[in-house]
This record gives sequence, structure tokens and C-alpha cells, in this order.
Amino acid sequence: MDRYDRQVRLWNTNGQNALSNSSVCFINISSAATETIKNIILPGINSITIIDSQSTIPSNDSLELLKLNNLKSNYFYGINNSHSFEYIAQNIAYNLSNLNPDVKSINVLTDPLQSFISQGDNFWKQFDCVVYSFDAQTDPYIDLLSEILWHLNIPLVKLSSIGFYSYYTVQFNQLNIIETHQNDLVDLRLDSPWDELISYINNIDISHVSNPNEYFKYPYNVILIKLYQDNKQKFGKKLTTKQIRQEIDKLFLTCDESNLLEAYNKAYLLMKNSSELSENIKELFNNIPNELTCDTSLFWILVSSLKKFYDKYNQLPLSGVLPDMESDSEKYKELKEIYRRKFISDKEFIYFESMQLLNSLNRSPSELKDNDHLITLFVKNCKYLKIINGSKHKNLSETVLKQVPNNNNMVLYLAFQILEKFIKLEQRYPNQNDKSNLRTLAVSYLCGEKTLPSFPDGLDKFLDEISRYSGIEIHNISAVIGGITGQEIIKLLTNQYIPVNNSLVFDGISGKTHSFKL
Amino acid sequence: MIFPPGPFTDEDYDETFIPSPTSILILGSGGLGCEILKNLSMTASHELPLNLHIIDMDTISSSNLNRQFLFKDKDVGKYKCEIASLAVKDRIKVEYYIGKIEDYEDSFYEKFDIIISGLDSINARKWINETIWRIYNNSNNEKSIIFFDGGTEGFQGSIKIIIPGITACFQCYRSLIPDKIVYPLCTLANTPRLPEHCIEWAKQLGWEEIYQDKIFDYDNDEDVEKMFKIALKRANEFGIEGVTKSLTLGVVKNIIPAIASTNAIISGQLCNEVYKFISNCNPNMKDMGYYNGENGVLFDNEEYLPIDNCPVCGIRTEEIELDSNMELIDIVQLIKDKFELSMPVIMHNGIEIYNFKDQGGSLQLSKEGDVTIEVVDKTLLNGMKIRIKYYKV
Repeated sequence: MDRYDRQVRLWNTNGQNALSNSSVCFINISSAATETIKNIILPGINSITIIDSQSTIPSNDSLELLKLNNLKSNYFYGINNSHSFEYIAQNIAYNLSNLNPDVKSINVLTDPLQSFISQGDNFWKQFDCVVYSFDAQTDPYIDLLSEILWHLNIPLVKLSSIGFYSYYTVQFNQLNIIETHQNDLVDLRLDSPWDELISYINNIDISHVSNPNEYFKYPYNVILIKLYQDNKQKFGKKLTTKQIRQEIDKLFLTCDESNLLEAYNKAYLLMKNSSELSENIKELFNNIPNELTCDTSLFWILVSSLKKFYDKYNQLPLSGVLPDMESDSEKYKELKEIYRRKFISDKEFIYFESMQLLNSLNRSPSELKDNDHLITLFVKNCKYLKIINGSKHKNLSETVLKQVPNNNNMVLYLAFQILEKFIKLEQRYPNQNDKSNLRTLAVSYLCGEKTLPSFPDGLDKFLDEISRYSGIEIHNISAVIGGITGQEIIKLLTNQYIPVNNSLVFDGISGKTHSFKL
Repeated sequence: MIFPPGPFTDEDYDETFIPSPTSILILGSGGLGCEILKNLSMTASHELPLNLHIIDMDTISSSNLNRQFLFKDKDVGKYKCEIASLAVKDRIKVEYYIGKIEDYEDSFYEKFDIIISGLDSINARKWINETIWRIYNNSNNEKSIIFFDGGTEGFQGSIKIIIPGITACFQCYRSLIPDKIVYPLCTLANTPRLPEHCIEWAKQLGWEEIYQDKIFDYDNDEDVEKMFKIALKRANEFGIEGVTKSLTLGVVKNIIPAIASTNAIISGQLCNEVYKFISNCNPNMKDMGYYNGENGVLFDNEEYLPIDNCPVCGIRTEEIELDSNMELIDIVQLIKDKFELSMPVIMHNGIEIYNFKDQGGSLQLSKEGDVTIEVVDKTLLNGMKIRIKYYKV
């Protein structure tokens, strides 16, 4: 049995391949970062790089001592072999390294962060995601890093955990998600059957059957399309759900034809207008780049073809996915085959259209030729494709001040911002004697922003609570935020499911998360 | 970790108070169990002494390793709870018990203050819930074991805090838990359409035709391979595509997808609630917590009320007529006779008015309206209560 069996059922082989080819960089080690690393090593990430320059020999710096103490309340900081490592990150890397033999490497870089930032794109482009744990020394360089990663379109995650509170934010430029896993992909197309389906249905007569066994054979969508089309021809108008149900009632010979019952219950599906585009797809079409170039991603090439398809047929391609329906095995198979053939021919259209586009851009046809799996996924999911536009990390702190009066969920995040200002200013974490200092700092910070009419509700309580902790990380809270961060990284790397955009706080006192976009 | 009082702490919180050691039993040493054990071993300290115990019957298999991080490839085949206890031994001593939870008596469970469950079976949770309630009732509501339950499925999870006599019990949540998909037998036998139908047919009918008395073992790879072959043959007969070995295993074992991150989130929050409960340094969340990470991230919680007619903790309402001149002792006799009770405890407005032990107490019948009293008796099924409304005649 396979190590990854239980997770591949969630993100399939393509998701697993994406993970095993991805490399993630962690800036500063913390208990929450360590938990995150564990949660991406276990499912089989390719490699991890940790940038952290703190040595294992305790210095007199209070922030360094605190960091070491916090790490010691983490399972992966070896308490018995700590003497044999020069740097704390090496200790952690060693203990994480035997969790999964498939992981290629856990590298530790101990030079200061700025030396890697000065190397620019060349250094950072080796990663698929970068995760930063707040730290007063490195914080001034993060805006520079944010610029670099924004242009490389590599996600930058920031996380922090103190006492019962933690937060997560992510910067990405734009995500193009094919598999959102939010829908079952079924597309019956009852209101507008295509030629092959129509001729199949025309050859069926369900009106003069004396043997009820005949009825048992046909799935409900055949019955519904048949009644709908016949009556449209006969009366020259569409029937309502109620009228369709009356027609179905007439067909019952016994009372337990399960397919007729199913048709009766599903009759409302006929009213669905299958040529209408969802908001998601309208937004997608509006975002197609004006000019396709050599650098345009395959995703947008495919979307351009998708739009051509829609413009031509006033329909999106068929997914070919059929749900189980009460019927005879043989009839179900025939129908499934008709749906499958339509899917294949729609997929061919997208394929040839995209090949032509590639050709006109002088790009290699192998980009698509060797990528049948991608086109299949794209066409199957084409009704539910999603683009998500992110925002730049750099602007987050200004945005939070603008938005916080209208959004109570952001107050805890604001408290974190004030905490970080305090730490950078004082080079230490606040303790219970700092309650008034924190509030004074909050007032001066908030007054700088003229749009803020009053002290936000609940901020004083969050700040008082934070001052209880003296900078202590509680392991349980690190485990929760490390779990959430691990999960979000997996969504970003596999490009599946819908990630948080772009901020989240976890309040371990109320036991709630709040998400919002800054 | 000892924190001074804060804006959300109880008035009676005292950070200098060191509680006596809390005995905690962890049920299950799988995905949740490994995380719970790690979290508690990191939380235990001189100020928060914990005695940890863990019980599990299972051995380690390789499909556990994507999330059960206390186990390594070399541990495959060994007992989970034993290896898990060894993995945290540098931090804390953990007692482990290899076996089914059903193999242990009430006297075993009575030793614990808190039971945390990371079980994957609904029936096992129902069993421990009934046990906890039986212990509560048999002790005259004195021994109350706090039950923290966690569960995950893919990107989703849930947490329940269950306090006997105060919150809903696990059974009360039963209606929220979806039932397993059941395929109609006629479909399996006559009109299979999906690969799942063929696999379910193989499991229910096909296997026995070929292997008669040999019982199918889904943990045995050879058996799974054989089952897959039977299902595949069936599928080929009907021209159905999509029967794979992975799907076969999924259907016959009723596999629920599981990932490290959801386990970390649910266990982290579960242990956070345990930590707050013991240390009293911040209030607990409401009884029912739920998590969904498929579309963004949502963790929330709400109150969940006990269900009145719950067969484990619920109340059954009966109406009886009484003579207004009756004394309490006559009323008790009437109730005993009518419901065949031998050791009733009777409550009125939350106050005990009669206890079979000392037989004392009195009840002031009001002049107007009906009165409701609650009766608890060991002989009632799982400690279910009877609520009696009576009229005077």
C-alpha cells in the first residue's frame, strides 16, 4: 500500500506530482514554521530551505533567548542532541529530515537574509513558495523581497503566533485554478441536446409501451429530454416543470418505476439555461490578455480557445461527466458513451484551436501535444475555472487601517501590527507592565491615519491579552496555524482548491478564524 | 506557561495555583492521536502536570506514514500506541494499552479526568460516550469525565466538547453525521452502472461465490488484489470502465481521505481547549467546533443543545395525575411502581428533592398549574431521564 494513498484521493496524481517537484523556502525558524514544514514534508514536498542565522550558543540578546525558549517547546527541537549543532535551524532540520525519505533535502542557510536578497531573481526563482516568520531583525528587508517575488509570481506567506493568537497572510500576483473541487462537474445539457443525443432520443418511443419493464431501461435524462422536445414540437412552446411532471405522471404503469420517479424529482433541471455564463467565467473572459505572446501561459492560451468555442456555439464544452441514474446497465452505457464522445469532440476543438494559437506565436506544439492530461482537466472543469487576483504584501499595513473601521474581523490583525511595531521599537516583546505603552503606541499609530474615526472596538482587550504572554508561543496554537499554513501551501503548489486571499487570523480563545482581503 | 490574569479570564483565576495532576486518556494513536500526544507532551509542565495514557489496537501500515509522523518506515507492523509512546519518551512518560476500547471495564475508564478521542469509527465513539454517561449516572452524577472528541475527513474536521450533565452527549450529534452510501441490492445484482457497483457486488456476493468460507481481509494486499480481480471481471461483463485497485480498496474499506494538515489543525485546537479547561487561563469555545479548508479557511463554533429524547442522555416526558394531598414519599412510590425504578433520584428546578439513599426531602406542591420534576435512576437505559408533568385532581 502506498504512503500517499489517503491524500492522492484528494488531489490526484497531478497534485502529488506538483508537490514532489516543489521547493519551499522558510525565512526564520519558529515553532509555527517548524509545524508548517512538518505538514508539507509528510505529504512529500521535494525540498526545503531554511534561512536562519541564530546560533545554538545562547547570547544575551533577549529576543534571541526568547526565540530559543519558544523553539524548545517544539517537538522537533531535539533537547538531547542540541549541543552537536552550531545553528538552531540545523537542529530542527535534522529532526525533520527523517520524517519522509522521499524528501530530497532540507538545506540550512545561515548567512543573513539581506545577502540572499541582494542576489535578486537568480536566487529566489529556485523556490515555488517562500514563507516568512516575523522577526524584528529581518522585517525591514521583507518589502524588498515582496517586490522580487511579486514579479516572479512566487507566493510569499507570512505567519506569526503568540500566546493564543496567530495570523497568516499571503501575497500572490494571480492564481489560475483549474481544479477548484467545489462542484461535481455533472453537465446534463437537458435544455439543449446536441445532434447525436437528439437522434438517439428520436429513435426511442416511450409513449406506447405496455410492458413496464421497457420504462425501467431509460435513465431520467432521456425521459426528460424526450418529453421536453416532443412537447416543444407538438405545442410550439416550452413546458413548465409542473407540466412536465404531469406528463411523467401519465407514463407510470405501476407505481414504482424508479427511473420515472427520478425523472419526476429532477424535472426542474430542464429549466436550467446551459448557455448562460457564470460570473466566474465572465470575469475569466474579461481577463484574457489583450495580446498573446511567447510568454503567455498555457492557461490563457486555453482560455482564449474556450472563448472562441463559446462565441461559436453559445455553449461551453461538455464535461462528459454523468451521475448515476436508475436504469438498465446497457442503456446507461449507451448514454454515457454519447456524452463521452461529445466531450472528446469539444476537447478536440480546444486542442486544435490552441495548437493554431501556439503556431501563430511561433511556439513549439509539444507544449500541448505532450500535455493531454492538462487539456482533459481544463475541458472537464471549464465551467468552474477560477482566477484569483492577490495584493502586494507591501501595501497591507496601509490597507488594514483603511478597512478596519468597517470590518471587525481585522481588529486582531491590527493588534498584531501594533505588536510588531512595539517589538521593532523596543527590541523586546511586551509584558504585563506594558499595557499602557501598547495603548499609547496604538493611539499614535492610528492617529497617523486620518480616516480612522475612533479606537476600534475590542483592540484594547486584544492588546492587554497580548501583553500577558511576554512573547511566549503556545505549542497548540503553533500547531493550528502551522496546519493552516501547510494546507494553504499545498493548495498553492498543487493549484487546486481555493486558497485564502489574502489574510486570516486565528483566535484560540474564541476558537475562530476570520479571513479577509487586504 | 503561567500567564497573569487577562481581559477574558474568570474572576476566580489564580495563576499561582498549581492543579493536581490531570489524568488524560487518548483514544486512538493514528493521525489525530499522534498530533494529540505530541501537543500534550509539549503542554505538560511543572505548573500543568499531566498523566498521559493512550490506547489503540492497530499496527502501523505504510499508508499511515503521510500523516502519522511519530512512525517511520522501519516501524511498519508494530503497535501504534507503543511506538508513539516511545517517540515522546524524552519529554513525558506515557502509559500505553494495546487493545480495543471495548475490552476495558468501567473501572478502567473511571480513573481518568479527561478522555480525548481521535477515533475514526462512529460506533467506537458511541460506545465510549455511553460508558462515560454510565459512569456519571452510577456515581450519582459525581464522576464526570470530560470528553473531547475530534474527527477529520479530507480538508474538513470537527471538535466536540462533551461534559456529562451540562452539554449535549455524542449521541445527540448523531443526526448531523451523514450515513454511509448504501447501493440498492437490485442495482448491484441486475443493473450495475458504476465501477462502485461492481466492487460492492464483489464484496457482498462475488467473493463468497469463489472463496466460500474464507473471510476477506482488507488489510491483506493479496485479498485486495483478489477482490479487485473479481470486481474487474464483473465490470468487463457489463462494459463498465474505471474499476482500479485503488478504487476497490477505497470502496471495500470505506476509506476516508486523510491529510497531515487537517489533523494538525483539529488536534491543535482540541488540545488548546483541553489546555484552557485545565489551566482556566482563558475560557473555552462553545461545544461544537467545525473546520472547512476547501474554500478558503473557516474555523467556527456554536452551542449545540442536548436532544430531549436522546437515548443516552435525554429526557422522556410522561404525564401522571396525582391527588393534591399526596406526600412526597407517596409520589415517589407511585413513580417507582409505574416506571419500575429501584433507586430513583428526583430533581425539581435543578435541586435534588429525593434521593433513594437517605429518602429525605420534601416537595411543595404549588396551588396552581402543573409541576415538572426530573427522575434519574440507574435502571433507566443509559441513565436517560424521565421528566414527569403531573396534575392535581
